[in-house]
Amino acid sequence: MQTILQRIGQTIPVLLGISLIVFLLMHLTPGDPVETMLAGVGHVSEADIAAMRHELGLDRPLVEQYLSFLMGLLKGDWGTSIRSQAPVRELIMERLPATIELTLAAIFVSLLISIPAGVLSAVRRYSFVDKLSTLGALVGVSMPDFWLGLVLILVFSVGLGWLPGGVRLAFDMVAPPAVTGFLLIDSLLAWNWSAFWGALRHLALPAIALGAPMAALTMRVTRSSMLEVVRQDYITFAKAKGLAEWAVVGKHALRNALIPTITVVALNMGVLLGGNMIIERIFSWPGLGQLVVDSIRTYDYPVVQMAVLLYALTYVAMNLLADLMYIRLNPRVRV
Amino acid sequence: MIEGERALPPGASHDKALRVLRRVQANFREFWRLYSKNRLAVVGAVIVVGFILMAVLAPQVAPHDPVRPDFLAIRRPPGWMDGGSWRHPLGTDHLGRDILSRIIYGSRISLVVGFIVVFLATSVGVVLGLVSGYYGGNIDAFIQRVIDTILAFPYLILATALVAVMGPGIRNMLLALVYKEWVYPCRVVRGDVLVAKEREYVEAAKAVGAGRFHIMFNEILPNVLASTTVVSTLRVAWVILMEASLSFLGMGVEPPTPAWGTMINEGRRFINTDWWISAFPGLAILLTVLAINLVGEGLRDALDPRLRE
Repeated sequence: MQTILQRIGQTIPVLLGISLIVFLLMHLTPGDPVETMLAGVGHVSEADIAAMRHELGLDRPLVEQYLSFLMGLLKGDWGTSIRSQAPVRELIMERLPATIELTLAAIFVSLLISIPAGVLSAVRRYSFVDKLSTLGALVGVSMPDFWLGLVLILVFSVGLGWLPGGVRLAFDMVAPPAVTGFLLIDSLLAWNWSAFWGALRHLALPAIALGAPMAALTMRVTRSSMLEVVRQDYITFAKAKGLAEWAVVGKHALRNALIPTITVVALNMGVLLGGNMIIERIFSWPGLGQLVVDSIRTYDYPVVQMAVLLYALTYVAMNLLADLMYIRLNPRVRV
Repeated sequence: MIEGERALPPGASHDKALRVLRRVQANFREFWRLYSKNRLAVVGAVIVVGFILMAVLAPQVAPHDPVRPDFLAIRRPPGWMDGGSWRHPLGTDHLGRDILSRIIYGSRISLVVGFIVVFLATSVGVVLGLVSGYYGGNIDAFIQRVIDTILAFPYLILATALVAVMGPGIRNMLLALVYKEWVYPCRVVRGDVLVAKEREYVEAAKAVGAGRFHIMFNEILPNVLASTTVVSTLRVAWVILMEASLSFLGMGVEPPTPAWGTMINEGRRFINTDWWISAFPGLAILLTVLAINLVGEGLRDALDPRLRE
């Protein structure tokens, strides 16, 4: 219990640090952030700049600005987009479901590849399959994800014509009424099977492109934790009882070897979140990653700030979750 | 001859130099024996050396000017395809620039960014890691919380946000990557220092009255260099991928300077018809990063037996 509280306590300075960095991002700009923001607008008078500085509170002392930024965060006031004048919160919430759907699909794909590959190479250690998947993992971590995305589009979309290479749903298809924002769930709620199938097909390539590097990372972990588990007494005992090999592997070993695998997925959340920006751009996926890239382009700092903050908080939450899960499942750390 | 060595009998410094040389030779032979056991690591080393030579000798080996457009040869396919010519072995891009030459020049950006970022980050990380691990207490807690905070930002997201506020260009990109990168060697060194601190040789140094700085830099540092080298090598591969990603997003070096990520982005519009514009720079990234990863694994086997599986 004490370990758990200690671990949670450690996140407090980190959260403050994150908010400070995100806050300072806007003040790091060489020169005046307002001038940078208004650079693309055209004719701007001195008075306009002063008015905007006042509106954004940039004429107040830095500490005061930071405190009001923190208070705003806590009250749910995330600021206003400079480009579209819409509340940042609305902009982000609108994009969030698409990104979450893609990320979850990518995790699913990565586990679908890495668990069988990891188990197989542990059970058949030093075999051809083991060597092949080891090499595959090495290629996987060495490949730029955006290039993999393009190759997938080139082969499966342009070449073979099997799967669509962009957006969430074909333009000629009527989207189901937005309830959750998750296309797969919304189309199920509307009993719209063709939309469900269409959304699934559109999800396939970006999910593979985003999930493959993660699969390369997790495969090695599944393999080594499987190897460790297989050596334990209870596995030898299960084998001695005369259980079939697949039963031993599937029922007894895999269950225990999965813990580290899932932990690694959570700890490497950053790979998925960063990859989002790239993959969404390639597949014209209307998610948070695209919003960030577009906002950076147009110097829409309030949007960038909040999106970066959200990414960091997700990362911290996933890490905390992974650690707590680890403490819970591993009595040795609990002492 | 150096001033202080005159007091030695004639020939002594020569003998000493020879002994040092022999020891280095013997160490290198032992290192190579362990390293070359891993055949893929040798292949990786050959490829890395090849890319470095290519980057250094770019003006000599590139068949064309990498930035000069040729509007009479726009989007030509590679030499072996219909309509291609061996004048442009890997084809040309949408401005008629030779892709092979651009890949050769692009290796300069990738390698320079990869090695410089990791060198700077490792220098900072090692010093802070030594201090953090050796002093412990509040200093350690502070540095570790700073690291936790920086780690909380997904790599690419922090790098793009930093480049966005600092402005584009290679110098800002280098800085943005260093801001994030130093935490990795720092963590590794701190962990090693915590172990080394308890060893006899540190106790012995303390007992004879050695100062903190002497112990940190002369006693502990040489013993943590092996694992740092391994980690840094693997980090170079990662940084090259990140540089390519930044360039792909238009946040790296500014056009028309060829960078592999920029080339892939420029070819993206033509992926349906002229795939070679994006495909070959991607292969170059894959090959470089893979080779560096292979070298890293070879170094791990040779230098740091503890890290082996």
